[in-house]
Amino acid sequence: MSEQTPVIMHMQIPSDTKYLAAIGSLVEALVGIREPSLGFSLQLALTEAVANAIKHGTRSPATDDVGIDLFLDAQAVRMRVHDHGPGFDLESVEVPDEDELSDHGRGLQIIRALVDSLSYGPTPAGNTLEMIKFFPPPAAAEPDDS
Amino acid sequence: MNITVTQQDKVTIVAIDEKRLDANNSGELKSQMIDLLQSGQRNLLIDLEHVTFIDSSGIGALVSGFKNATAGGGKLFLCNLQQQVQSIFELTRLNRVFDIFADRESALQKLG
Repeated sequence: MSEQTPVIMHMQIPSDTKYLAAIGSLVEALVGIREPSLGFSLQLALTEAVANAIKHGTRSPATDDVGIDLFLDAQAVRMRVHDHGPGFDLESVEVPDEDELSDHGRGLQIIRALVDSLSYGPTPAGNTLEMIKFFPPPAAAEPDDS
Repeated sequence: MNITVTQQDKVTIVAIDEKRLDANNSGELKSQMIDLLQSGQRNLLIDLEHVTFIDSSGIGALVSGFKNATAGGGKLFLCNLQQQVQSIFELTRLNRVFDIFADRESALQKLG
């Protein structure tokens, strides 16, 4: 991939968790071409976001869909997940209490730890969770002694 | 959800024969662990050797199994975590909750 040419992808999937593996693997592979160290973590962030959209953001799971946009260039990867649910206040979602040992509620905690920017709100595509991860700057070239 | 269940002394070993443990199959694992505990197994050793990807839903299933095992007077342990799977336990700080062993042998040596 030329790092000057962005990868732009839009997907629309049924509201069904059986699509998670395919989408996650595709995004990990695409990100991995640019920055191998981030492929796994961004697959995980996207999987959490899409699973949340399927679970909480669909009006009718049998007929609804989830939209996913990926924009990958030399500086960053931007992922947007669009749902059609009632929405939620991102800032009011608290980190699970470790002592309570809940068996759910860690999805946003994981996403927050893996991306540099996270936002959620209404857009023309529905309610949109946007995740941005900036790539580390390229290592300085070794001096050429020849 | 494909699992292989074997018994060694007082420990029931549950090997997860899947590459992924996510929102698509974590509910099945949760149910299978409940079935094992209700059938009288008390101590579960979950072998994650083949799992290369886990999300919060998969972790939630293991937390559920841990709580159910503990409530019944037993325990739930983990072994053979791939490095990236281990990193998610560290990120969620659940590595401080679970007893995590490097492999089956060291787990059984401690538990047997």
